[in-house]
Amino acid sequence: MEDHEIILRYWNRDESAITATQEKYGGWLGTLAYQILCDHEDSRESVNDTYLAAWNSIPPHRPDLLRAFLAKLVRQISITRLRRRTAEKRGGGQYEAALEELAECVSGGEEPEERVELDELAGSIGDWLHGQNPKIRNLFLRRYFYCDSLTQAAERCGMTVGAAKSALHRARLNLRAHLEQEGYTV
Amino acid sequence: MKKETLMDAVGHVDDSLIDTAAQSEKRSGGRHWKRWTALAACLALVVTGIALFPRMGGNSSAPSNMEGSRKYSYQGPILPLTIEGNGEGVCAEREITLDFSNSPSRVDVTDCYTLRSESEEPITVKLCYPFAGQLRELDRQRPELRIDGQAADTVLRVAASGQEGLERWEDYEKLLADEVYLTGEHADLSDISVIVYRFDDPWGPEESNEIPNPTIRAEFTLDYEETAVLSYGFHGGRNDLEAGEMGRSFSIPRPIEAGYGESRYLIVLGEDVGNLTVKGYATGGWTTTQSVESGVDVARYESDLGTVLRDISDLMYQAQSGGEKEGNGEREAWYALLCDAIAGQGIEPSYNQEGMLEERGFAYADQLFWVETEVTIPAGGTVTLSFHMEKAGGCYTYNGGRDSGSWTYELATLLGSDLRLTAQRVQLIQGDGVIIGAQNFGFDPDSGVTEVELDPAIDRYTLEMVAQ
Repeated sequence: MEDHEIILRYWNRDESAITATQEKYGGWLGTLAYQILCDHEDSRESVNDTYLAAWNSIPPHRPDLLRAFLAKLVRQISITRLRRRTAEKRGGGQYEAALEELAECVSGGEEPEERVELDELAGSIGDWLHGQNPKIRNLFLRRYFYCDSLTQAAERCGMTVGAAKSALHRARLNLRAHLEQEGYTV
Repeated sequence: MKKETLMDAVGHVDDSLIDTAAQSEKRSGGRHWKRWTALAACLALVVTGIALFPRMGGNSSAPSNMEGSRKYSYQGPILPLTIEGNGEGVCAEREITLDFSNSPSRVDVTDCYTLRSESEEPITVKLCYPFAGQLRELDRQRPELRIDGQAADTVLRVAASGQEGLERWEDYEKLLADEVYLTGEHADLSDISVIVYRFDDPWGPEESNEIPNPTIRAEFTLDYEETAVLSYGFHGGRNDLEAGEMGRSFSIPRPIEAGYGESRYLIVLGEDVGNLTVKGYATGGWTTTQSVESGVDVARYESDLGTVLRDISDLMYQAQSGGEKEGNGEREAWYALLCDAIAGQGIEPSYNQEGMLEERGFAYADQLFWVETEVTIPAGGTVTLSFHMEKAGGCYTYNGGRDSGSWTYELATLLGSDLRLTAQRVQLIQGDGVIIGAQNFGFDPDSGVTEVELDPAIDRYTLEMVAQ
């Protein structure tokens, strides 16, 4: 089924929208959740929550890219679940490893008054990503959005693990500089 | 700024970037599996000790598939019943019902055989009904048998898992051609000596703000060239190749959590590890230095890989089945396929994260299973065997998601069967909102033709169902 047909079903409050979403993207969403959670049961629950979240948010939303829309939902839901499951539970998951790498971009402190507007920050990161070459852009997102392992991310971007590792290192330093330039207190 | 804030913000970048990055993804199903299938049969090498770690140093990864790919996800044909021996004195009529009432994407199959004895004596025969499936999905896929209307037990068996996948009709044709699959022979790993460290009854403090995730860490030294470490039940890992150190960790489970009361294993192949320390920490992070009062019983013993994999596959099967111990052959199937997976994929270098046995893809890989039963047909009489199962349709996927509203089903008339089938008929129940696409059955529901006779000269029937 085409994405626009699925979205139409959500708009018509037709519950088969969820079945259609499940059939088309269920397996894929499960993989994304598992990358973060490292637990089959939790991943299943995250994917179920994602269907519910999609049901609750379309309408009013009418996503142009349903796949990306769902990916964002499942990622956020899985991260929230992971954090709730208590900090650093089951160390070794790709989320945690990716998070530790990102620590290189920031100091780690945050004063209450410094609370950043997420969408604004995301916009700035988006601008920076658009300025990168496509390979680095995809590598960065595979690692820090989809939480691929280094090996998987490298493989998907046609690089060796070593090359991917150093490209990501450079990208993080570069992102840090970009954010500083944009006036963020990193 | 906190790293979590940055991580959250990455989750809000614009959709076009996310979508483009998704396209650099390979098909998700069976990914682990496929990655190693290019390997030669490593088992022989391991057994003879020529090369303990065939993957070390070599580049054995399958070529990466860079572009978003539209790919056909094949689910295997509906296969005919077969009989052990030459089936002399027995013939059968087959009646199949394909019921699409619930969905075009899966069909309820009833595959019914009326066995007739042509002998003047009662005949006892062993029958095997093959089906395509995956270990994790057996709950749904395993056919249920009724003999003369009464529910009957079967024993599950599985064919040796080869290097090639089951992705096309031809793969099934090849596997079923010589009936070697019915011997059910699998990799034997009992010749490989291992040292096992088994961890039992971990205890530690309650979770709290100060101790968010009480974790047991096992740390040891090893020579990465000479030793591989497989694990089960450990979630975290640290590998320091330069220092020759390795760490494996797990969260101390509370009584309500999965894995509580289960043994955990480190399996050492090659030279033993040294300087093993086991200690509790406040979190699962490897940078954490705050230790906590905790403990775990560690037993070290020598064994062989086959024996320890038996214990582990039992734990895997029980976790899947919710405590069921045997499952009429399912427990054995987990063991057989775990051994095949280790033998086929090779024993990887210890620093690879896939040293974790639970990460192996074998439970999701396509396999050829069959259920076995024995029946006695009275002299000159009949017995009716009816197999009922749910079967998913083959469909196109795009980056792991389904890409079309049509599903294809295949049915084999004679493939791999030694049973003399004198007639084969198929009945179609179409369901609402479902129409027939391409087919060679000859159904024409508009003209009332929903039942057709199959021609045994045609070995492969195909039916495409389309959602309206």
